Amino acid sequence: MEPIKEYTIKAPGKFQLNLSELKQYHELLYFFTWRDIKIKYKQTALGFLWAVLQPLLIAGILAFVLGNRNSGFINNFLPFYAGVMVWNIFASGINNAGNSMVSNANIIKKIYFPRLLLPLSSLAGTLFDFTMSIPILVAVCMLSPTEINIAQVLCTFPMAVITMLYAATGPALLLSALNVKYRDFRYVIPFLLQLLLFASPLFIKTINIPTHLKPILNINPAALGIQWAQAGFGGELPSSMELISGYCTYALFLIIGIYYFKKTEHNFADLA
Amino acid sequence: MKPILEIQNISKTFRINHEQTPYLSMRDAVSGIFKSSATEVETFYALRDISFSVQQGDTIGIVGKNGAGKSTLLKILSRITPPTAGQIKVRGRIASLLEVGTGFHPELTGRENIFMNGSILGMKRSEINSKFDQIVEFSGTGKFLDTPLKHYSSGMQLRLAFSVAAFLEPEILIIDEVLAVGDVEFQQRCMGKMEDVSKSGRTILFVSHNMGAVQALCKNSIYLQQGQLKMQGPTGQIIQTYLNDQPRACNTIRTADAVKRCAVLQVEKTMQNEQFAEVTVRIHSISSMACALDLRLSSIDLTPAGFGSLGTFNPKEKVQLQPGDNIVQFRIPTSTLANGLYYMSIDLTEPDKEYYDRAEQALLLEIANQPIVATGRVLQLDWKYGTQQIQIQKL
Repeated sequence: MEPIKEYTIKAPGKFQLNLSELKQYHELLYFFTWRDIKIKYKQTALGFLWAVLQPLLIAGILAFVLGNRNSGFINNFLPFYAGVMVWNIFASGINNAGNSMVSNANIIKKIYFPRLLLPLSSLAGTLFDFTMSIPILVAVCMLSPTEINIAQVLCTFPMAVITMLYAATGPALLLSALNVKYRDFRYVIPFLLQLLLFASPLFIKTINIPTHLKPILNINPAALGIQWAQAGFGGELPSSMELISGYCTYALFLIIGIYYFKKTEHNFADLA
Repeated sequence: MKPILEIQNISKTFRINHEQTPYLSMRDAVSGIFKSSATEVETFYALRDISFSVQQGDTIGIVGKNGAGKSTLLKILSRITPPTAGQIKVRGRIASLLEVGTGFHPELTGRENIFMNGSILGMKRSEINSKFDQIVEFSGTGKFLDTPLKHYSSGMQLRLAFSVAAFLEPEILIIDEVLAVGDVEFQQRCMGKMEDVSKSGRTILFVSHNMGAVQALCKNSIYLQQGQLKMQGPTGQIIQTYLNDQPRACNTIRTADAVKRCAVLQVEKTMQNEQFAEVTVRIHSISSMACALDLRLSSIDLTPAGFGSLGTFNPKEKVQLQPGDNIVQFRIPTSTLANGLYYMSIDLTEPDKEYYDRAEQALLLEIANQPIVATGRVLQLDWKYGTQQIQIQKL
């Protein structure tokens, strides 16, 4: 039996991250993620296929509409597909995490656990859809008429995933906490995501933009991740200025997100 | 040894904004910046300065009316909501059962829900794995383990939920009224399991409106009234105080009807203990007369439970009334009544001739007697005896 720890319950005091507690509850994080994945495709005829179909269709449409007429369809399709794959991590991560407190209100009101687990598990859950769409990427790569630098893709693509998770965490925490108090954010989130999508490298061709303005685009938390994802498939690598501006902005989002979440989390049970 | 729980000066306040919806919208927040705080803000104390401590192995009952702060106290102890002031020192792992089946999802199968619920309640995966077979066996839902929960009957869901909770092994267990659900058999099973838990040396905090259950399970209790700790001590005394306080709201106060020769104006319980209840009746009469006072007890669903009379069986016992208000006091034995709630109705009659007045359900009486185990007479459940004659002892 583990030694009995003494602890104190008192009025919320100063800011504390309490990472050790989060570690203690890692199994619950796993179960929340597992539950979200399990129930996502229950009672659907196509099941997991949806995770594959969705990015496939969107990337197909984007490649058809926005692609370069002179290069072949597959050459157009690959960067869009790669971009949509990581964009989905960001978009569904923020969307699910943003609503996680409200949709789990019944649990929050009845039992204690670190509230951070809920948005974090929503983010982790998006990796499942992502993983499901990898085989298509591999298949299309093999069909590609132009040579693909596999070594580069193996470097940039994981970088894209890590960047996306890193960039999404701050906004996800902030929005999930705000949504508890101001239900307006239920409507703000989809709208915001649409805006960010249109302002992302998926729609804006970075080549057409003057170099000194590029870092501004990276205020969009989804920008760098998509850039990394496309880099292995004909896109250009982000410049050091872009990297600095991007990662600094995301760090700021992360700090604001964690701070606001932690500051308000003790009220969640009363407000949710 | 240090107490396992030390609750020190806990208060919890809520701000009540009059003339505002509980859901803040952005518009309200933004417009609120420009508006001077015209809305009246009232501070409401859900709990005020509560202090007590619990020793390891104690089973503490928490009683009080709705809104007395019982659930808020449990929520603070479970760390769901923080106190506004004060602190609690905890020396052990707390598991709280504020409802059964927290985290159950209708789309998941029984097996999956056991893991989900167990994990939410604070069990490790290895722990759930090792107890899985016992949980399934206890719930009796083995055949449906791989069926989605939504196809379960509500009774099966409840059994499954309780079975998971039953295999929790915290040092401190907090239970809120979970026994109020389910059928009699289920409730008995819960009680049995909780007795086992308390015998194994663990600490239980138990909230219930079922005084019989509190009585049977808890040696000591605390009594909350309007957010304050009114009393703490042996359960018997607490329940007595609680019951003496409680039914006043149900007492009848009526006005005299001029046409009637006599009428019941007020029925009030003035005392209750394990043996008897003392009732005071105020009767208005327009002349000097004698009448019989009949008393009917019925259970809460209005099934007759007992009948007694002053004067109907023996004319000598009739109540002598003077013009104006008369006070009649009497005792009725309660030790032979099953635990539960009873309505008392009082009739004023001239036996076999005329009803002067009938005061229906004039008093609510709660019986929560300690079960007498030694003589094998365990009257815990709401078991109907059928009607019995009540011996009224006039004071």
